[in-house]
Amino acid sequence: MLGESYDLVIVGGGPGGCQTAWTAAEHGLSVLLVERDPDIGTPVRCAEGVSTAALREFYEPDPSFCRQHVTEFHFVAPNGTHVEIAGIGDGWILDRKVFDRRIAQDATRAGARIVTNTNAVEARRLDDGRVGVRLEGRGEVMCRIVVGADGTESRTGRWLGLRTFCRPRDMESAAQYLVSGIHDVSPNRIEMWFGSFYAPGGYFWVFPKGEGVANVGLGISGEYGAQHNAFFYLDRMMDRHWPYASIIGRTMGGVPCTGGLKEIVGDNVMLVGDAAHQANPLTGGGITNAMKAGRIAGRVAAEAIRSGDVSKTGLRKYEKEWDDLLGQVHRRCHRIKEGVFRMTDEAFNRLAESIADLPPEERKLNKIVGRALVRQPRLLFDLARIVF
Amino acid sequence: MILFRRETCDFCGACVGVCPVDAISLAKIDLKIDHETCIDCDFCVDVCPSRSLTQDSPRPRKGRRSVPEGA
Repeated sequence: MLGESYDLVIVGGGPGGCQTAWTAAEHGLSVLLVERDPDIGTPVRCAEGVSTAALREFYEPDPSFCRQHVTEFHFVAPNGTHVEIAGIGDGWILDRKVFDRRIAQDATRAGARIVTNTNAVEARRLDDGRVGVRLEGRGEVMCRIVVGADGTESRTGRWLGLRTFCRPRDMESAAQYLVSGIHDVSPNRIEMWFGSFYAPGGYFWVFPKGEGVANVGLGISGEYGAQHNAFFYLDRMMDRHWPYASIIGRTMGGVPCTGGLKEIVGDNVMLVGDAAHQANPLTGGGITNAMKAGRIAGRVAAEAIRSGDVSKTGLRKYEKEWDDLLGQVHRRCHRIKEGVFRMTDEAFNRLAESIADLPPEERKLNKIVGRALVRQPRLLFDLARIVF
Repeated sequence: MILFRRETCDFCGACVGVCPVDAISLAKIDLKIDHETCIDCDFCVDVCPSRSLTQDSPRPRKGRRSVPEGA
């Protein structure tokens, strides 16, 4: 049986929702998290890469959910030139099926309640200042605050008056195979390939998951999706580079890569993770960002409920703290992404050549993006503000 | 009109995120389009990774220009 009233109802059981549940429960709130799918952790719509530094804010790397340590990063130009870039490679490729469940378990140990196989279909404000969340086939639950952690397909914000529309240009339409039997890929190296042949308005990635196994996928900007879809580009890449490989998994999804939403809180509502467009717009990476946001949201929700003010004003602190932490960075990353979008294949090739001339220890990301954007000097200012 | 092909859909929700008029809803293994609300902007067709959404009219009746300001 579901109780009928909670302090907090969270829609969506990814890392953002589970982290919000965990933090809120630790702060003493009664928390219900509803997940549409029958499992926490599946389906995995993710390339599963995180930086070691960001992961360690939450968990020490653990063999149960860390599949592969990566230490190198390769940039691949449209003409096939590989260039190693120093200083940004240290990360892990996770096993999200295990990782998400770990956060879910920690949330429930702190006192949160999680129900799976439960689809939220509507949220509405009630006269008594609470919110009713209607669950398909399970009636309505009441809460003081609802958190939309329901990903790209989020409608929680829309139900309660927040604008969460993403322009197709900023929606990365992504396709990925879990590929086995590719032995020319180093298990310690992630690769990002750029160019209009591989992935127009996005990039093609290889994220290793052990010897001979990798998440191989790409995202294209929705603006280019009218000609060919993401799987067209992915299948073409597989045919060309790994025609002998075995495809043992297949996934797809959309990643909102905007500079952030104008508002991520409203009266009785907060948005977290992809629902709030919190993935890094340059890389599309969103796992640890969603968890960072969830940690703030859970704490602010507890403060708001304690003080009795769950209005937009009372929840604004979450938006402010997020903005101070990463919101401003993301707006700059988005402008840089637009600059990278404008680069031609020739410009990518020239960039790769100019980096290859540098000694490896000088191939730092800021220097390289700086070179890439040398013809767009306004963006160098944005870059400088991110890096320094 | 936007057509939906369930056999190839993975219910990833990219289409819902780009719908400017909130005409698409996702259930557990189903996707519904409210054709009354839909403005045939074709944004969902463009972002679908698996071509599960298509536009059956070569010249949509309303089209992108009818996307509301500040959607």
